[in-house]
Amino acid sequence: MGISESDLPGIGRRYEILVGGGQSIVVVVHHSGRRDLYVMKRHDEDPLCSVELSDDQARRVGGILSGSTFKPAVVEEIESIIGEFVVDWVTVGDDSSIVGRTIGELRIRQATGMSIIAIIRGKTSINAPDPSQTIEVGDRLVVVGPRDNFRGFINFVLG
Amino acid sequence: MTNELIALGGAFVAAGLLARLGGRIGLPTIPFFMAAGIITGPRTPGLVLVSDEVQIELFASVGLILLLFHLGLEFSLGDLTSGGTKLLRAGGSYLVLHMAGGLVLGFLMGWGTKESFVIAGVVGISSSAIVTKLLVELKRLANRETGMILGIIVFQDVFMALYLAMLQPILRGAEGAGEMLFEFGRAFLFLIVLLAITRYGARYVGRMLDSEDDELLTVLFVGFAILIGGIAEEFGVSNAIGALMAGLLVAETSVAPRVERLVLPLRDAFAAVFFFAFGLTIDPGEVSSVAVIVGIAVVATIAMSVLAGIIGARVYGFGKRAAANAGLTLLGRGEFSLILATFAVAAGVDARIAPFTALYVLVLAVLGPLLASESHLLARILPERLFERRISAIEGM
Repeated sequence: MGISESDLPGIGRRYEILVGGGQSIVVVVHHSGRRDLYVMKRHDEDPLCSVELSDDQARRVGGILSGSTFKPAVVEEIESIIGEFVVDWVTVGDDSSIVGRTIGELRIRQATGMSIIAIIRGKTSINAPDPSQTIEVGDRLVVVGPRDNFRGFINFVLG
Repeated sequence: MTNELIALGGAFVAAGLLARLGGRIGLPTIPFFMAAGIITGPRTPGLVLVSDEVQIELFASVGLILLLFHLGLEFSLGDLTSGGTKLLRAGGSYLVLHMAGGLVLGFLMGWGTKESFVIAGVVGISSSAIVTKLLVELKRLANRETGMILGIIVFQDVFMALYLAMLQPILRGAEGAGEMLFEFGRAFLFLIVLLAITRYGARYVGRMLDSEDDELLTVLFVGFAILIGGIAEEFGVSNAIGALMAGLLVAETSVAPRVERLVLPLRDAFAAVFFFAFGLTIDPGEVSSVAVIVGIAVVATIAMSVLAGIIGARVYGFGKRAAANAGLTLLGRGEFSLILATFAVAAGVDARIAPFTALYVLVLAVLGPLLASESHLLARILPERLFERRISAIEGM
């Protein structure tokens, strides 16, 4: 999936994501926080459709698209293969309180019942991280644990 | 003579209401702020809100200063150079075509050499504000040519700053070689000192302005911009250029991103008064005397703009639809034309520049968005062979 980005001086930044069927989605992030979504057909000058979102709306839509509020059935099926356990991951945001602290000092397993089995940091991954491992912004924490504990874990990372 | 608060408040309200009315049918705000000044001014029958422009003169100057301060703040050679040679060719040809056309037009009108240079600027430089807003409203931000259009706008902004500085000695004219040399030297010294501070002392200025508190930062940078504008005047440099330099200086400091955000509402409010005050000076009788010339200028501008759009599209390898969009979107004229006209009239050139600019900006304000939204009609008649489609490896970028 190709994503290209460019500056729109005086307006903001433009991201183009090529999707299937000769279509692409263009996201324009305004300096004001407003987002515009355009669906473009290749070789066509005018967008097929467009929608304008406020900062808040865009975050909500983003959350739904990333599957953090509701998981589609397909994902559910893959998870159910491991029975009552889930394997999933959470990306650490820059406002998370766990940034800069180690797994050990956070006592993550005791607090949430979920175990971190890997940290994906940029292009590298840290498998079975030590308790002394520090968590950084942008880390993707891959966890395993009882299904019911996962939501608590998300709140732990967000908080 | 109405009291001054009524004059100022009335100016804001009249400008805002008329511009909102225009906005309903997709027309830009700046020309309507000016039109409100014409309508409620002393030279037209009916309601007179402001009987004398002196009543709001100071506020209009603040508007001009904040407009140029913001231009300086946003001045970005980085945006320009990142566009590469393509932008240089597209933006350059847009400017050259329009400036040359404007100069020829100016000389044909026979108002004089100084006036010709002013007219070249008035017809040559698109309005960043109007073009940007138009792109958002026409939902063309995703289009490929939009990057090019905004690049050309950046190119013109940079040029505007240089042109304003260049125009000053042209407009001033000689009153004896000795005096001119003295005045020139004094102005030059002032600019050199400001440039040196920008280069070596921006840190200290930043420290002087900096405050954790938005309130204090606002008070300080507004004061700084106006003060530098005022000091510039004492050195024989226009307050507009002083404010522009102040903006360039602040852009180099650590507080620049916050100032950029904080200055916007202030600039919008006072700039509206500036455009309104410009309208006040316009006599409708004079406007009709320049109507024919304005008609010619508008037709020439549209032709040049479309031609420049075609050249730009060819440089970037875009199709004819993109060429039509670019040419017709860039038609908007506004703040820069009005600033140049104010600048010129203050310097004592032919006073017909003001009504010429007013009518020119108004006509393009109505025609511009209309033509831009119907650009597909122009695209249909542009010959296909001008745009041999280069299918390149970066297709889809």
